[in-house]
Amino acid sequence: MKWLMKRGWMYGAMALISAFALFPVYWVVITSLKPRSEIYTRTPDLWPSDPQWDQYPHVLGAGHVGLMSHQPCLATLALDARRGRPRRADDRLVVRAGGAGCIARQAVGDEKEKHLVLKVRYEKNDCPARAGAPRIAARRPRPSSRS
Amino acid sequence: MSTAPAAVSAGRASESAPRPPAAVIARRWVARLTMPVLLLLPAMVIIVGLIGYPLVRTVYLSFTDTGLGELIYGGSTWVGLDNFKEVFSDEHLRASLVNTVVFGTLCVIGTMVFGFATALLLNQRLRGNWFFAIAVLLPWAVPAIAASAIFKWLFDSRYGFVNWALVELGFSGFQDYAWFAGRVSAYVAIFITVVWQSFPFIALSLLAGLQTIPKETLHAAAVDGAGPWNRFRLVTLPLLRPIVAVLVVFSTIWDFKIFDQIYVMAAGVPDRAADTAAVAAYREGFALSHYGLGSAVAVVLFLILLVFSLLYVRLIGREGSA
Repeated sequence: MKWLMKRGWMYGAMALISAFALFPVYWVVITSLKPRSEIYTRTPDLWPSDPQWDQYPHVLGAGHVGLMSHQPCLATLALDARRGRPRRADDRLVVRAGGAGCIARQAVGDEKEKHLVLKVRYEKNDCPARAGAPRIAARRPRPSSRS
Repeated sequence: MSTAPAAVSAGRASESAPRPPAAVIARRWVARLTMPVLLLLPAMVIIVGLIGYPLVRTVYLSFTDTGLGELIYGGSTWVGLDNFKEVFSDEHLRASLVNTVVFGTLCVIGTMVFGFATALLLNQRLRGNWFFAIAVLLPWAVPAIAASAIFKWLFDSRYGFVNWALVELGFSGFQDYAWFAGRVSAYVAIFITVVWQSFPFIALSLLAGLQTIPKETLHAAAVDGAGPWNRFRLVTLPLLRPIVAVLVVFSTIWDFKIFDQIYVMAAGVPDRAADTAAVAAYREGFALSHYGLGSAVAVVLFLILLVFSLLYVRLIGREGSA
């Protein structure tokens, strides 16, 4: 009894802190194994009733996540290789698939092209190839959301 | 030049050898400095390139009206302190600075207290300590963005674990409670995230410090009749003061420039009320392309950090020597 008074609460605190530290990671792990219907539920379970392991091979190999790190670079390379060549029909196709910067390239002449490409780049704050859908909207001045 | 020593040596009669000519001295210095400078050069180049240039450039930008057009075509104009005036007069930017200081300070206090408690517990060497140490270390290994996403999901209003658990515990008011709909509740959630992420480092650093305290000192204090609280206050804390000082400065810097957690979790708080200065600088600079104003916010944040860090170092350093 005396031991419990002296040391017991320490073990209790240790268990509490461990739970606090581990729980979010545990929650993500079991969420990764749950089917959709168990994720979007008002009464979550602490254990997946029907573990779905097939997400992992999907993420690590076949799916888009594993490739994601290469994709922007490849698209950018393709874009750069095409730049400066005479404009052809298939060129336009590739470039359009490449993303936002290229819309500007098609839409306007050489003089303004640089400006628009840069503009699109800076508004996306990223390489143009990563912007998935063509964004012609980028040419319009954006309304300031401040104030 | 070589005739000068005649006049000089009259004044310095005590010198036995005549002073060598200046050219020889210069050559000797060059020979002595060549190697160190050469060895330091790579590091200096990297520091100047990666830290010095961006810093100087940001400070310069904060005094100009650089926007997107000026960035592309050049020709930004010097506007003096106008950007800084706007930082302090604009309601949103001023609020973001207040948020930074208040929320950052609370995060530092929370992290330090929780980290200290964990370190003291780890230092008790209970059974199962190894498991405890691993569990405590784990959050430190989770990237900030991933942790923010995890906690955002935990605090989800409809499917989140936290609301479900609170309702199960009898707080029925938390049914569908939207944590990120208001500034204070959003900050509660982000505070827990920040503490979760940063307390492991504090705990392990303090544990390392605790283990350097000689047992004899604590035993002597106990023999003198000091209880656990007095032993902690009068022996442990003063001995740990240098480590605590460094850790407080570190976590102040980390928590004041906090970005990921706010940007991921509190981006949807109405009126952008939960923005901290780092997020405001990003929005102003990159989302709205007001590079000058964004830089001004960053410079103000930098100055705030500088003031707080210097304050802490002076405060804690002085107490330690007294």
